[in-house]
Amino acid sequence: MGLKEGLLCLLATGDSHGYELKTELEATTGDTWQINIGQIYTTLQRLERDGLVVHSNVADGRVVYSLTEAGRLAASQWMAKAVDLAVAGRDDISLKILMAIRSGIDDPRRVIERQRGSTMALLQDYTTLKTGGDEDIGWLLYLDRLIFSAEAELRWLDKVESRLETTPVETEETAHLQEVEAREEVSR
Amino acid sequence: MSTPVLSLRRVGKTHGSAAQRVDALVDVDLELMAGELVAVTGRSGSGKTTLLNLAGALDEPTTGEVIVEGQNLAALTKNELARVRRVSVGYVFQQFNLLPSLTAAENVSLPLELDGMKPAEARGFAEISLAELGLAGMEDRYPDQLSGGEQQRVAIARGLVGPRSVLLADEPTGALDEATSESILRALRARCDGGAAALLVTHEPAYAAWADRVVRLRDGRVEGISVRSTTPITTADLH
Amino acid sequence: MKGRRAALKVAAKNALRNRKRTVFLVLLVGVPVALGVFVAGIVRASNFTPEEAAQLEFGTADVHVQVQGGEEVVEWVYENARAIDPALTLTDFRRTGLRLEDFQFALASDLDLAHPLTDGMLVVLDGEVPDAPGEAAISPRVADNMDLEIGDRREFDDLAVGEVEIVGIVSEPIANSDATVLLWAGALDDEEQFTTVLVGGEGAEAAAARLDELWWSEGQPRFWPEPAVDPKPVELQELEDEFYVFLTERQVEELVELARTDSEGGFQAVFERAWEMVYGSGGPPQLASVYMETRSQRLSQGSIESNSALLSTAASTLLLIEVAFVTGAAFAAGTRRRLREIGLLGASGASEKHIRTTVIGEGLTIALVGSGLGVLLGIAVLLLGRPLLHRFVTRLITGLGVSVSDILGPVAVALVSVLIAVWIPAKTASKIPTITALQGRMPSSPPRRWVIPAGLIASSLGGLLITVSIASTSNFSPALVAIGGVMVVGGVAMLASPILAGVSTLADHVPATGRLVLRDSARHRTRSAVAVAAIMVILLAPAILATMSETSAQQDLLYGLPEPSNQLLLLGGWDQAFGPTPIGEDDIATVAAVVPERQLATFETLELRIRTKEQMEIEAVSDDAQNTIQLESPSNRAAVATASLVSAIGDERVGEAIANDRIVVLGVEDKETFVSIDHEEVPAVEFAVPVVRWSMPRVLLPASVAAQYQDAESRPMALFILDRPLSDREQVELSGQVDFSGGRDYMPAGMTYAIGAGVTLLAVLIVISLVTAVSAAEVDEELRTIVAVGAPGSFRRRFLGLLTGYQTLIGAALAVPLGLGLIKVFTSARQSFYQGPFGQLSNSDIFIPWLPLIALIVLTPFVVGLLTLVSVRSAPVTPPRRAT
Repeated sequence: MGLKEGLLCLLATGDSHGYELKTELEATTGDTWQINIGQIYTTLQRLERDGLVVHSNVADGRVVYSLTEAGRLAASQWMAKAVDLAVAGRDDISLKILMAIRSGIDDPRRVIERQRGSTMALLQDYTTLKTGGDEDIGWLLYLDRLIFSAEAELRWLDKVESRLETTPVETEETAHLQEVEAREEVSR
Repeated sequence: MSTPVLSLRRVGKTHGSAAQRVDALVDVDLELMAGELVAVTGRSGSGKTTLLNLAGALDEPTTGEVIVEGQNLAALTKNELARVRRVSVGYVFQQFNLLPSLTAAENVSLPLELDGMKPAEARGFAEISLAELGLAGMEDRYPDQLSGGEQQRVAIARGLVGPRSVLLADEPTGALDEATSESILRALRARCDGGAAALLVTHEPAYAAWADRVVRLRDGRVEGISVRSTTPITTADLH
Repeated sequence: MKGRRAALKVAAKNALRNRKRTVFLVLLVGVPVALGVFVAGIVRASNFTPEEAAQLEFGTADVHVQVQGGEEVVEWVYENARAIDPALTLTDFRRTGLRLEDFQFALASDLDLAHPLTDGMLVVLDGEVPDAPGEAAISPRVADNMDLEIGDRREFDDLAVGEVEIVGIVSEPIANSDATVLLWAGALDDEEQFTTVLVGGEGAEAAAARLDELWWSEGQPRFWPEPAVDPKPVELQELEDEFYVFLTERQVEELVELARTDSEGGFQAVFERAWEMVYGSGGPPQLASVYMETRSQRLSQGSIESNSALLSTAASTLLLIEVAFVTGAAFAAGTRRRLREIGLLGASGASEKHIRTTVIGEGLTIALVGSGLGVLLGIAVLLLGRPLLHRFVTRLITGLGVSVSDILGPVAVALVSVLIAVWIPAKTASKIPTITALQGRMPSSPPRRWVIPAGLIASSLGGLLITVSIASTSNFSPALVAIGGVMVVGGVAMLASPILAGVSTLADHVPATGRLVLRDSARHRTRSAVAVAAIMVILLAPAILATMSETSAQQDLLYGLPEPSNQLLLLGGWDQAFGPTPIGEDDIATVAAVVPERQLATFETLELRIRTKEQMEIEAVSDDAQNTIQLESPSNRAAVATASLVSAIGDERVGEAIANDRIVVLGVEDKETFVSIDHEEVPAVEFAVPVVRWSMPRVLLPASVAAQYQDAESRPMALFILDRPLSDREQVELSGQVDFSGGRDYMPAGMTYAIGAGVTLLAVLIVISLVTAVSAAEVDEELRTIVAVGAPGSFRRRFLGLLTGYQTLIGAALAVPLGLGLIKVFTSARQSFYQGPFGQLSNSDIFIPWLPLIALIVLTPFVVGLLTLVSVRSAPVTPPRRAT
């Protein structure tokens, strides 16, 4: 979720000023999202520029933001659109494993295992948090989200591993190794 | 916390004879401290269940030694091994854990009674154990009057009844839905936090994550271990 | 062992949970125990101790004096007894016989039941004791026979007391089937010459001895007539006083003369003449006699052993062998079905002993409950069936009708059988590694190598034991024979398992269903072997019976062909006092009156020394034989073949041969032969003609030949050809009046076989269904998979049909040789011979009825399989819910 969409959604519930928006946002996501107040204001300015919000000064000198018709529309459109996961795989770890396979700098299985270890540790930590006793629904939802994605990543790692076993991958290193093995076989 | 309640030292297990030798386990070292929940994961055939059977005195290792509460299992007779299963380690399986002809309380008190404890006294221990698993009031129900989750919790109660402090669980959530599985693990976690030790075999990462340590087996060897943070992470760490 | 109680608790709970199976096994144990207790009760009610037997005659008296000779003699006994010991108690009564309906007899007495000495001689079952003139009590049998009940009035033909009113039902306490009429005390005073005086009191036995002396010295001379010649002449010293005292002076002289002249004939002629003198004119008056017997004398005569406990144990042992097999199968099947639970127990820390205790405990629980119920059931049947049972047993059943030992016998056997039955499954269960059990796998071990030799050794040892215990006359012990029998049967039963394993190697060559059956039987070895053994024990009976009946049929042939049921041979009259009398017109009339439709042939028979050819050979053989040969008295009579006799026999060839003046032998085959008459061999011809088997002369002499033996003593006989066999009633009616043979209805052999086959089939089906029932759940679990892969639902029926047929086949194939072997062992232990006019056989000559035995092996499995096929259900479409 982007900050932009978050602010639009919050403003849809009523006019608000910057700091109020920051705390509300943090509370909604179960305090998992620590946001810089400056970032809030920058985003708000960007939204005003796009004609999605307007601001007005009130008596005590603070600036109150409210949603325009276009802003209200944008908020509901965002809510209605599914998250596009097509880009999800294009991340560091896939890149790392692919590079390991191609370049032979490291054993891809070791890369996978290392990643698995760290993700598992992360998953353990998430699970520990879950038992922490915090009953805040936002927090728990967010935690579940994290747990499931970590779990998904572990499953994905398992899959990658079995793919590596069943699909022969030509790398410089493996080619070299096979050559050595063949030679040893002959000498025996 | 100084001495482990269960330790496997360079344990290996080989099935079959020379021609069709299968190494189920190779040089596995594992220690289980009181209060610790250790998960063993790995693919089918990676040696998870073999490890559990060795730890629970159901099987004998080909190499290495298994020490339960200070006793080297290799030195024990068949009857003494049975006694280890009565007083030291408890088992929880995937399903059909309970003897259908005994009530919940009787199932739990069975190991104690088999060890010669008077029925009334054993019943007292069983009630405590069941209450700890949130099953107070269900003592006199028969297994077929309990839900799957309740049955598994009775099995855990039995595994940790009386002097028993080591629980060996083989896919205890295998046949249960997600929510029930989580309640089982929560109960298991709570018992470990209360001082028990448990070895949990599972192939589900999400369930393994309840453990303090996760041991990953691959072809009978320990491939990796992940440990949860000793200081609980905070919300800040997540960001 | 620690935790035994917990293990037993699990056992008890298991028994409770599998309620259907438990109830079934409880009944399986309970019914034979009930039967055992019941049989014990019956046997107990049929046996009595010497004390009880004495009580019938003595009451509570110590001396029992039988007095003959009327009132004066009785008075003499009373006076002298009182003179010897005034403290004695005395009472007297009389007994006399009377005829009832249907040629039955009863004993009437005027016993004073109110007198303490008569305690226990008769008991009152209903109503009251006759205590006033004109009253009588009768036993149930008399009531039945004459259709009388309390309140009826009736006059008895043979009693001079006139009409009496029945006021009670009485019975002898240990001879309940007696026919008794009890009249008021003193009712028979005037009628009877025989009086029994009962003497009781401390000094009774001593007084009896004294009284006996007094009788000889003083009493007898007083009551017996003075002899005409006194003292008795020396020539007549051997003549009994009973005769002598009645002889007149002239008669004595005649006898002395006879004794002197006829010294060659010994004393025989004198005796015969004296007998004629005394009894010739209607018999002498009764002589007075006083015969004393003390209770201790009676008791010392020997005891009748009470073996009710032994018998009831034997009865239930036989049934419980079956129970052991079926229970064994049930527990073997249970072990497999409850593998998971056994694994759980192991994982919970149960040791091998704990698991064994659990399985054995369950068996024991069932056996205890079953025996308990069986005992209650047996006693209940004894109590409820008492009125009916009283018709069959000799004594009155009192209390529970059984003793503790009668109950403990069957119960002990039940417990032992079940223990043996569950021992192997328990051992198997405890030896299964926990991991294997948890996986639900049953480790399949190869058949144990020692089973075959062990089985063979056990059988041979058992056979040896039987032979030895039968052969040694001094050490004969039924128990040893029984143990030997069990060893033989058990040893052969042990072979069932390796045979099943062996046959299963043929599985590759048979179609799918058969292959599954063979493999299944080999894999579930214990269960199948036990089923086979159970069937084998059942089939043992028809195999042995068929062989024995064939052998005895062959032995009977030694005496001629089987008797036709439509012939009746009249041998003579029958006098109640003297026995058989020569045949007379009135006897023929008597038979003719009873049998309406008839053909009659009267003929003369001649007393000759006759041997058939075979018997001459036998005599030669028998000289060499070591053991005594009971030489069946050969017919020393030949019949003179009158036309009417030949026509009555009804065989044309016989008539033809007689017409040609040939001697005919009514034998067992058609051939030319020889007979020896008065040691002279003469040619004869033998025909296989069925005639009355016993007493009928087998040699027919043509009149011309018979004429050569005019000096021979002759005796007439009459042969009746009946339209139908005599009824039982007619048999009884005739037997009281004439001496006859034949006229009996024999059950045709085919009928015997049909009944035998039916009973056999029923028993096998019961056992098969029991075994199938206990293992059904296990079989079904496997069949579910087979149906799931596409076999039709009817596969279950085909599978079970084939399985039961196969097991019956193996059982039958084992039973037949085992049965023959057992007969051989029993007969070869002690040799004896059977011989008759038509040959001889050793008792070890066994005739095997091949056809019935092959039918037993081939047809029984076929029928059992077929019946299973049509009676079991198809596999359910939806798989049964798995028990958790």
